[in-house]
Amino acid sequence: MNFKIAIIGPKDAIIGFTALGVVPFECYNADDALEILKKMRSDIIEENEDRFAIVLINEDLIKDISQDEYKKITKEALPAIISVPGIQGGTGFGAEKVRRMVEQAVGSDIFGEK
Amino acid sequence: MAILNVSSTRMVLLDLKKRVKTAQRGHKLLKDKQDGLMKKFMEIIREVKELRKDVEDKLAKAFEHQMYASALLLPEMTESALSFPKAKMHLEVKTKNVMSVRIPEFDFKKEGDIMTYGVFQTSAELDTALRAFNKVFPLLIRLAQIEKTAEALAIEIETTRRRVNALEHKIVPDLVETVKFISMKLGENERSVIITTMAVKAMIESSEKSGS
Repeated sequence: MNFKIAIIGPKDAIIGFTALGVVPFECYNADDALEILKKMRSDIIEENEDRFAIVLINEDLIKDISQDEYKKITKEALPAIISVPGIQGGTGFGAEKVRRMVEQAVGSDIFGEK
Repeated sequence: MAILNVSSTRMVLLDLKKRVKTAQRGHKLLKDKQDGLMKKFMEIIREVKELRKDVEDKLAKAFEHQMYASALLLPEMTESALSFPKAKMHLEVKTKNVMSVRIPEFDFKKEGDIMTYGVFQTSAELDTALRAFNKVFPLLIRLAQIEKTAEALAIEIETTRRRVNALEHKIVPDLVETVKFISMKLGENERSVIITTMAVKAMIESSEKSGS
């Protein structure tokens, strides 16, 4: 089995990664991004050949995907979906996600603002 | 606390006593699991936090270079320069099992040159940008691995905590209460039987006395 890395985002945010051999998916809104993510999963089930092990996704896109859908997509061990900041810089979504994980696990935000 | 809806017989009592023991054992095991998961999670989450900050800073720099490059070049040129990569990724994925949480481990190798375009049409900024992307990439893979791990651990910790709490605050007390209720009831029955026997005996004795 061959594992691949994908990146989803607007053109200017993904083109730099294309040269490194990452499979690019050009996408400009959250609904399309969700479609792509879902398609990846169904492809995995059907073919079982190429699998995307890591999916890098633009922060602007992932922050508009609803929590329920996001949970459905990340339920399994693969793919690992990681948000990356776009060309405009980080939106703080990554830090927010870390904070949410801590809250979920510990029960309260222990890394909060001091 | 509620008493379970069971008939108060000796057989049920024995069965319930067994269940109390199992529940307490299960509670202890789950509590240990929760502690173990938490330890692992705390180790990882700090790293996630630092690495994410690091990666975001470095990516911002890389994008900056890319922006300079695209300001100097026509968009079509940048695109055609970057669209046909010679570099290949080999990603190996293993899944490890940490306390019933499946954790991915990524191991990747790069192959081929990333600069696959002519020097004439492109600017040096593009090279710098690509080098920056190339440099940040291993960190990004590492981040993917540990962030996914942290995510899976967080979910598992939450469900484990729920189970521990349910056992500790609901199932075990209910069982204990029911056991107590049944043993009281059985004791009550026993005493009642003795009293009845004594009363019958007294009646028989008194009728014998008056008869003789």
